[in-house]
Amino acid sequence: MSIFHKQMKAWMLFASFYLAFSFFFLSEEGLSQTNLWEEIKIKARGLSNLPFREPRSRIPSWLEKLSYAQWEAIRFDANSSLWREENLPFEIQFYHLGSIFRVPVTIFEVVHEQERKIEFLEKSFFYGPSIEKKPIERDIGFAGFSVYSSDWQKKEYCMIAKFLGACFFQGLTCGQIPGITARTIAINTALADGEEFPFFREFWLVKPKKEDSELELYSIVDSPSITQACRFIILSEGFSTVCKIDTHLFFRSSPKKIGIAPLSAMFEYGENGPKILSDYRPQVHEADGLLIESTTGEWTWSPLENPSRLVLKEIANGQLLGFGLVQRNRLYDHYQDIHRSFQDMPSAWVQLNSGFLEDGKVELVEVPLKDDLNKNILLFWTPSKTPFAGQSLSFSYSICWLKGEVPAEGKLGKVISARVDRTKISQGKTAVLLSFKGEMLEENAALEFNPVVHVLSGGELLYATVGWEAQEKTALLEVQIQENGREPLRVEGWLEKKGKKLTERWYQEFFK
Amino acid sequence: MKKLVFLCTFSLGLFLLFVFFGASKYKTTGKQAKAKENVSFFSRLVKKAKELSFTPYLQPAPVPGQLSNLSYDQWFGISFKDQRGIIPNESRFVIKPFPLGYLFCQPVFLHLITANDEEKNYDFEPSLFDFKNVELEKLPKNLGFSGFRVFYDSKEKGGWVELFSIVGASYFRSLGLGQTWGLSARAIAVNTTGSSKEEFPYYREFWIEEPKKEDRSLSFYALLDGESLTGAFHFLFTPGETSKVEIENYIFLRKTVEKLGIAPLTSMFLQGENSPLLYNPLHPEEHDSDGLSIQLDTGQWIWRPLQNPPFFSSFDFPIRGKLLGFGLMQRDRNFDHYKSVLLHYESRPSAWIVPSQGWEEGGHVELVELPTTTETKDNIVSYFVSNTPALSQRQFHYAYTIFWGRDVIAGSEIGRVVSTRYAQLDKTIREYIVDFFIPGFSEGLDPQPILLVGQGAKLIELRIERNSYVNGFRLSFKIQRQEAGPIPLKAYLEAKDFPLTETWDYVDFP
Repeated sequence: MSIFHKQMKAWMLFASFYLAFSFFFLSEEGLSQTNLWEEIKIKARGLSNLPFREPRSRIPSWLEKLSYAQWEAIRFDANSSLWREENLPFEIQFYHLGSIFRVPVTIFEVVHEQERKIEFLEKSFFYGPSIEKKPIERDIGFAGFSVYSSDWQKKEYCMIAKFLGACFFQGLTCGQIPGITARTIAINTALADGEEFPFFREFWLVKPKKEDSELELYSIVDSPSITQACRFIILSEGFSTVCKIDTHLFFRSSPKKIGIAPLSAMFEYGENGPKILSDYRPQVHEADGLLIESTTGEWTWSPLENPSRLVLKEIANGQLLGFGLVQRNRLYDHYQDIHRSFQDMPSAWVQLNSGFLEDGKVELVEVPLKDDLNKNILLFWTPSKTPFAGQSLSFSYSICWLKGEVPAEGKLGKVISARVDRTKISQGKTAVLLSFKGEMLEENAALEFNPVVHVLSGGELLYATVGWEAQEKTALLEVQIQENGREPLRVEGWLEKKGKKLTERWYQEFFK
Repeated sequence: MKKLVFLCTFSLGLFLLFVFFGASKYKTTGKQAKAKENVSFFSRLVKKAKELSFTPYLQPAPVPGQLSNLSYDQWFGISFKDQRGIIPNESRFVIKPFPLGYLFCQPVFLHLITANDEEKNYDFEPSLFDFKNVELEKLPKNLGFSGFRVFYDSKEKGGWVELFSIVGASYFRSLGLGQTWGLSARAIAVNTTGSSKEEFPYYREFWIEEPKKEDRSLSFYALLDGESLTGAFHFLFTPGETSKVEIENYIFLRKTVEKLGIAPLTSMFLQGENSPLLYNPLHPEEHDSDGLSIQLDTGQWIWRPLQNPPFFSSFDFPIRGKLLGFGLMQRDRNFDHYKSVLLHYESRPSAWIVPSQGWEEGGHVELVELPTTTETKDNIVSYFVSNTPALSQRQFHYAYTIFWGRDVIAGSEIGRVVSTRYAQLDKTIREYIVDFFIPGFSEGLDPQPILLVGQGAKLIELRIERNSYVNGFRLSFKIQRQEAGPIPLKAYLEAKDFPLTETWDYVDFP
């Protein structure tokens, strides 16, 4: 019997605030790994029955006062990585507290069913010359950590995941740089009352065996409205890093809206917008589109936008298998940034397993953004019914972090660029040029493609013409629409031959 | 600016004309045989041109209204009946005349020079053409034509490809095998800039040497006439992956000409990487050429990226020493940058002019840029201007070759500008980003940037960084504008006091 079970019983006997505190003091008693997940869920449930406690900021004030750049100059010494000496398939590096990262996270290592708190050690960090360092005499904890996987070819370790700040985490494949951020949960996003940001309280990292291909880790997330138990199983496959997630939510109160499997990205501008005069870079974004796979096998692509006001789009009902934010454009040429390699940032694809009821829906929130530093795109699944206090919900899904396209979409033609001309909007005219590429187009290129374009609301189609560029293996579809100005323009389109769809469905909503 | 409007309208017609002719995508590596210049004939033609210059200029005979009123589509629909053209022999060239009509209403008369050096007229007859649906009253005989086009039998790839065309005023153009029609050349430019009205001299007569079976080149002669000058021209056209047009001319001035432009090129630049806004946002770039390149005998190379300027602009590039070559280039060969399945800007030719005889030292190359809002108007002109004033009764003699194709400049080892971009950081501050490709780019290189900012602005930041994406360097700098006019900017990279790159020669428009 584990400490959690014992304490659970104690809690059931003396459901008191006082005793609940003892959850945070863990003994060296044996911890069964098979039961670890059950115990963490019980602990999270127990926590939800207690009033919310603000995270205690225990960090020295000189650390709080660091600028972001100064904080970045504190670097972890890779030689101090967890499991470094043992030549295991994974290693862990830690992030220092400071600047905007003020919430200490307690991190445990689980070895042979024993848990051990990982101590903060000053000597594991290099402090940049810009920092007026003062001695840190106690174990202040960490801001977060990153997971490194051994690359079998290069015999080097590369970063595949990063857990840092609030309930944020990022995945990537070897050699990429992090871009899109996932969260364990989104609460009251895009509502007038303001959003709630749950945060990681504790992590348990299970020490892998030499032969393991997966890394298992657990965490407890806390916020005024919820507590959450999470299990992450991380697997690196070269072209993708898969993060299998099981999560249980326990509601302290009834938030107005929850977002499950949220993904957020920065989209300042792309090919579908007007040219930006104040930046020489042709495009600036971490993802350029939203992809949806429905249960009927239809794939829908919607280019992202940086809107002039907050926009919330309901983009799919519950009949879906997956959704994600995709960085489809992989050409340096389109970004021209020699410091931030936007073309190398991962796409994130969420595959739904359980807990996602058919009456739920997927929402996309787009917020106006004036720089390239913040994230302004948030995508999540949300249930139809608001949860109530005392309720619990569980979900299972996985996030694939990808170098290339979502493999399940296969040979279907994909929209590789969508250019929009709204310069004649005074005459009510909107034109779009879509470039499609894909094996199904190449295999069927001998005859002409049939363009199918529907103006779902807000106007009527003037023309749709398609051309095939054999050398580039690209089909170009040009669409012109007369807008009626009464309702938002919503358009869908694809290419087919003899009634057979050769491409994904392009769907776009235009706002004034 | 009346003459500019005319230039535009005229070019529009040409543009449409060439777009619709299209070109097949065959390439050849065949050896080029050179036809001999028919010396005695040419000296007679030179004499004829000279004599013509002593007589008052006569307007071309008016063309029947039913032809000049034709729409472009109607005119273009009229086709020459004989598929073997006007010289139905076994050669690799097919020559088909254009009828008069639409904007092309200056009659030009055709003659053939046979293998025995005999001249014979090739007269217009309505029966030569299939007028399709165009209903015309009976047309008189011997009306003349408006020009001709040349198809080449690219045997290696099996097919006839149109690679040369000469129609309207003194325009002509060519391209390499597998390319798409792009920029044009003219025989001469008269008063394109300056206070005098621009003139468009036109071809009065052509003499075409009948090509033999083994010939890889086509030779023909032209008599040019205009208000202020006459000219005798010899053209030798050699098709290929890079097509060549060798030109020798004698120009005789009837009147003093304010600005005589030698070896003029006409092109189009609507929008590119350096454009602040896109007139046609569906396409990232639209241009027939993206820069003017100049090679001097001092070893200096100049690269001027083209712009669609906010107002009419012309710039002189003084030639110190000898001009080795100049031309309008289409450097950007990436389909993705144009995204047009109809217009294929990525496969349009560059035109590189290499002077041979008659080009004295000094003088200048002039670049003219006109504002435009559509890709259907040519807005770029370049030519050479001699230091010798073009006074009445003077004569000029020039020989040069125009290379038309993708890689028209051979063997240059100098670093080249890959792209020019800028950002408007605030009302007065602009940031420029210029990427240089360095042949044989290596880790050890540590070049110094040399930057000149002209009057009216001051430099506030300069940075050079390695850019491995282009195998070269990125030069970025910020300028603060203090005056309203155009500001010249020049930059190059040097290593050990030796230029590593061409000179990026730009102008910052307000």
